[in-house]
Amino acid sequence: MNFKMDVRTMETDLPIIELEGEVDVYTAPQLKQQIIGILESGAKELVVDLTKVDYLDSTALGVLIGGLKRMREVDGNMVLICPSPRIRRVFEITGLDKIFDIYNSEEEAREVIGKETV
Amino acid sequence: MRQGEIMQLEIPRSPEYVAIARHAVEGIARRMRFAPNQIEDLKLAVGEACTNAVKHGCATEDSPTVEIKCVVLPEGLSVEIRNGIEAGELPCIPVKPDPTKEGGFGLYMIRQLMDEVILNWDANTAIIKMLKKIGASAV
Repeated sequence: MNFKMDVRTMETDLPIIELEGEVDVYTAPQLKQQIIGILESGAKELVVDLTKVDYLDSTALGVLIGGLKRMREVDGNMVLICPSPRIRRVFEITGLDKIFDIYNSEEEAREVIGKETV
Repeated sequence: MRQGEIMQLEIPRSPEYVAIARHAVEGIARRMRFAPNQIEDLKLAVGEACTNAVKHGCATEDSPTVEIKCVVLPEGLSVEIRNGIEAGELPCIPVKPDPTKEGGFGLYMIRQLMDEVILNWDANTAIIKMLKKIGASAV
């Protein structure tokens, strides 16, 4: 199974999870654990980068919704970077494009998040 | 590929095998010359159906595994996913999924992605039969 996950910190100290490959019922639990770990570290904002994701299923959507809900419970936010029309379509057909803040690039996300936190 | 040809695959009821099923169907769809966006729809729908089978199904005497049956039809590709269930489980496809809930998207997505979807639940077996038409777009 083609799946890779990296975590780094953006210049603004925001944690960013970079996903690559297929995020599905088998691999999504790893993402869930990562998000929980970041939440437990006290982070209130999180970026999930789906740029290199080529498959995303409903289990992954559920994990992302769970992360978003928990972030918003502490007045935080979780945003997505998703330039791929194919992956964006999964959010569109489920109506989740109206729930998540979805950006086309890290630069775009950083600009908006930066403004929100000032 | 010739009309009426059947391809069958059986996978253990475990998450790591779902990708194998969807990649197999992807290969068939490529050989049938589906458009790339239709192949993605098929992959996602088959993945969701198999995920449902893995998550909510159970091993029964008749259906200890998840069975995937593909039939090449004049109008497109028929895919049937069959798995064992416990008596009393009934499927429900939401008119619109609740975006605040962490689940309940799978069957809704299948209905959006495929041209025809038939659910057949009996006492011990769940069957999802789906059709993707070549050249048509469900969404």
